[in-house]
Amino acid sequence: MSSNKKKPKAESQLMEKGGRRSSARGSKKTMHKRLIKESTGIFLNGLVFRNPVAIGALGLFPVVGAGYTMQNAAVLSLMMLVIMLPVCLLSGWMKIPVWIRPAAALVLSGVMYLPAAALAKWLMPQAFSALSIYAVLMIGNSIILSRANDYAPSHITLAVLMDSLGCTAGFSAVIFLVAALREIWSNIVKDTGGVYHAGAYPFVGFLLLGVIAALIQHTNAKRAAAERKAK
Amino acid sequence: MQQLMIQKPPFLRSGQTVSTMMKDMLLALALLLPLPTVHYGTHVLWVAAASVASCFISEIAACMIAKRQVDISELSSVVTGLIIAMLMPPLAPLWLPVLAGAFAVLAARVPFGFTGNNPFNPAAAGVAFVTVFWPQRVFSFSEPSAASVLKEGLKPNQIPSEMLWGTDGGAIGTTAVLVVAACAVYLIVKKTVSWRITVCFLAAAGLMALLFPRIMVTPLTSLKYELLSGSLLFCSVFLITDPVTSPRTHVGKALYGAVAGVLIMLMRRYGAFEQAACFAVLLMNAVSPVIDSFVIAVTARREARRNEQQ
Amino acid sequence: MISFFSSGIRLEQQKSRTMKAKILALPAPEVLYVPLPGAQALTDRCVRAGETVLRFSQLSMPGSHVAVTSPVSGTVTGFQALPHPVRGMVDCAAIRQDSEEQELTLRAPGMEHAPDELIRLAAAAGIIDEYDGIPLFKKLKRLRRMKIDWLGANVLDDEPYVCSGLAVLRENPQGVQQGLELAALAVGAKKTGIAVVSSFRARSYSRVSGQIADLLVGSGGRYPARPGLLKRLRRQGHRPGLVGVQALEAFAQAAERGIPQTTTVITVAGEGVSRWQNLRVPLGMPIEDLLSACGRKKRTVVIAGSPITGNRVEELSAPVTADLRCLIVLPEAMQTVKVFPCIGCGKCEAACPVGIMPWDIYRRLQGQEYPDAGQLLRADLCCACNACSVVCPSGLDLSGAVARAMEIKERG
Repeated sequence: MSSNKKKPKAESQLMEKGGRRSSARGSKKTMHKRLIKESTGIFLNGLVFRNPVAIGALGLFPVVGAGYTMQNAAVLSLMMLVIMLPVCLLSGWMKIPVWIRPAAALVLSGVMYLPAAALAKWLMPQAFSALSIYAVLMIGNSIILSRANDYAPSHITLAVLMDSLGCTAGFSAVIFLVAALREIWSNIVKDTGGVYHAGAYPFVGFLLLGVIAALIQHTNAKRAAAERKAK
Repeated sequence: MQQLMIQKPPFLRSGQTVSTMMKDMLLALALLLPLPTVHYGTHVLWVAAASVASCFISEIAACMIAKRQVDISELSSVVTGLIIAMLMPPLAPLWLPVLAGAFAVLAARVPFGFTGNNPFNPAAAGVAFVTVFWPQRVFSFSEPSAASVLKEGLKPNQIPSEMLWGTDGGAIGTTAVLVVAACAVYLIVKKTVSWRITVCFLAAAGLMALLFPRIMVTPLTSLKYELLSGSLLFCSVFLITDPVTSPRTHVGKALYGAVAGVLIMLMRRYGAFEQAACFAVLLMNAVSPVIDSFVIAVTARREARRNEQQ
Repeated sequence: MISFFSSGIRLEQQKSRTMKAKILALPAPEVLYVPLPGAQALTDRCVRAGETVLRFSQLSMPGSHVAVTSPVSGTVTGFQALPHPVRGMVDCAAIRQDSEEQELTLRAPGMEHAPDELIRLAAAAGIIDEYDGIPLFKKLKRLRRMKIDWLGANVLDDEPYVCSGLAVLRENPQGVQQGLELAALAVGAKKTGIAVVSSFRARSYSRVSGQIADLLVGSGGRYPARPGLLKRLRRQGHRPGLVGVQALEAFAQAAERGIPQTTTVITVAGEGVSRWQNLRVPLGMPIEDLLSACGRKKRTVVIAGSPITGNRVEELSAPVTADLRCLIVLPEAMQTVKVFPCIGCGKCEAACPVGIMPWDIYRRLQGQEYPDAGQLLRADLCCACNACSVVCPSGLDLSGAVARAMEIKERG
């Protein structure tokens, strides 16, 4: 959480407030190039370097609670995409006063849950029914809420788009990784005479998340050190 | 650990250091090994060796990854390994203690910053880990242990002398109650473990057994079976007394022991496993800082009142 | 069972050798550096460089400290500031001994045993309490002001090795008793006692017997003995006060024959010397002379005052002062400590005689520049016995942390 907010890096100006003005400078071609470069940066931030689950400790509940099979992971990722993209874009476009923003974001994601659930049910009916309560809990997912509240309203559309895509990708990357490892763990334990569904224990999820977070922090620290050296 | 020249008084020290405390623990744990070896064969020694080796190698590997100076004289990982071995069944496959030891060191000890900082007892965490995933293997004894019979609500058919000498079924180090008791006396006299925790723990557990017997026997028989069965006594000496994870204040220690005693009896009765010691210890580890800050807050309030009166 | 619950630590006493040793009187060396405490100003000094002095002739007479007399006859060669073995610096008069032993003829003061007169006598005889370095006359005044009703001779010697107090008590029980009675008269105390760590040990090893054995008060055998003993006496309804045994012995001498204090008894012990002895040495004798008389080994460190609260002596030319009870010589190899992180054993709390939680204070002070003074519980009660540091298995500087906490608390 803290690492998410603390580092004001100069690398991506679109991340900052007033990104509109600075991006307007320069010729059209260089601006276009820079936009592409910076939006890639935002996407990568969401995917790896500032992963909302591992680094921001957001949206832990579905990963730890439900992310123990690949099917669950697929359904949750799909729902995440369908809910997050419109919610973030809408809250970026609409000028909502600060005090009502969380409620508005919640209502929006509630509305978007219906098409997401319908889509998931149509594509993977079994896995969707297995999720039960966790699917509904995606409405209150803290990744969506925090991004829609804090990030979307103060940035331009392209940045919001790339950020939502990046966060979704980061979420699904983590949940797929965790789910894969938990399935492997379940099989190992089962084959050695242990309990069934060993991977479904929440603390296994926490443990794996901790390891992933440590790895990402490690690469971040290395990157920062390399940057400092380059300067 | 660093070796420093004494610069300030006192120029004499008590002679008891963390490493001597660890050596005392190791000696006590090693004393538990001969009797099971006689009863169950040399496989017991292999289990102990596997567990210790797993802990030690994990520790060294972690030191290397964390770019820390590898310190062979740091014995706490060896102690963790031996405690884990003592809680394994005598005929455990060797990968079981290895896995428990690796988990204990790599997940419960190293990430928190090695000696002195771990919030949970590594040995308890390691044993809990394998108990959760391989309960059949952890509780596979040559004959049904007294604890499992009690769990089913029946009177165990072991006679007390069997339980005292550890010829009945049970984990390696926990069955020979007499030896465990001797180790307890040794460690308490050497002041390596705090008598407050052990005594309060046993008193609370005993009281629970007396007042709420699980089986239809006289309270005294219930007390006898509850205290002599399972890993309760071993836990009261080796697991719950770990200074790092137990409270530091005197009152806190007593409170901690008593609550843990009640908790372990409740877990035996309502929990899923016949031996719940590890889980009770882990739960109590989580609350031990809270107990300490509670005791300190009470002391501070009393202090403030005293200052006001003056 | 009482010792099982009571606070303090049980230390290996290492006393069996020094406890039995007789007090040997050491002859004065050729040059003495007699400490003149409190006499920085020239007007406080009674002699100048080049003057000849006799034994027992006045060297200094400051208003706020004791008068000092020369332990030998000789020539004053000069004055210089030397490091005090226990605390800070002290001005010293260098006296070169001459061959003839001449001394001032002294007469016993006309005794009327009025409290004020006794206190004045204590000042004139240059008596200093060997436990804390406070002049006896000041101590008696303070105890009288505090309306003490139980006065004890301090023979605690609760640290390992140290036996100078017990040796004095064994060699001169009558003198001690007499001094105690006089001091009790001076402060107006009704009851007297002799405070020892364990009365059993005092009786058996030091062969204290007879009338004086009835006065022995044991403190329970732990280090630090003093706070626990005083607490117990207060609980019994006394207002206790303690005065060092050597000071009392010197007081009796002064009252009876008019002899001022010019010597002190010092235990020299430790694995670094070959002869463990109790020595009666003249004040102002350089410590190195004393050590060579006991056979100091190579690669050793010298600790003055007390092995637990005393300091290391770096300058061996420092003179013997009246508040030096012992010199402990330890091999350098024994002077290392293994430092671990705090493991939370709580032994420091068990050892503290006044109920401080040193581990808590240590943790709060670590990495904090301005800790909240209100959270440093009871740090103001610290009696600086260093028991927490002695007992800490991790080798942490707990007493230093508590001392810092005490400072912070006093600043508010």
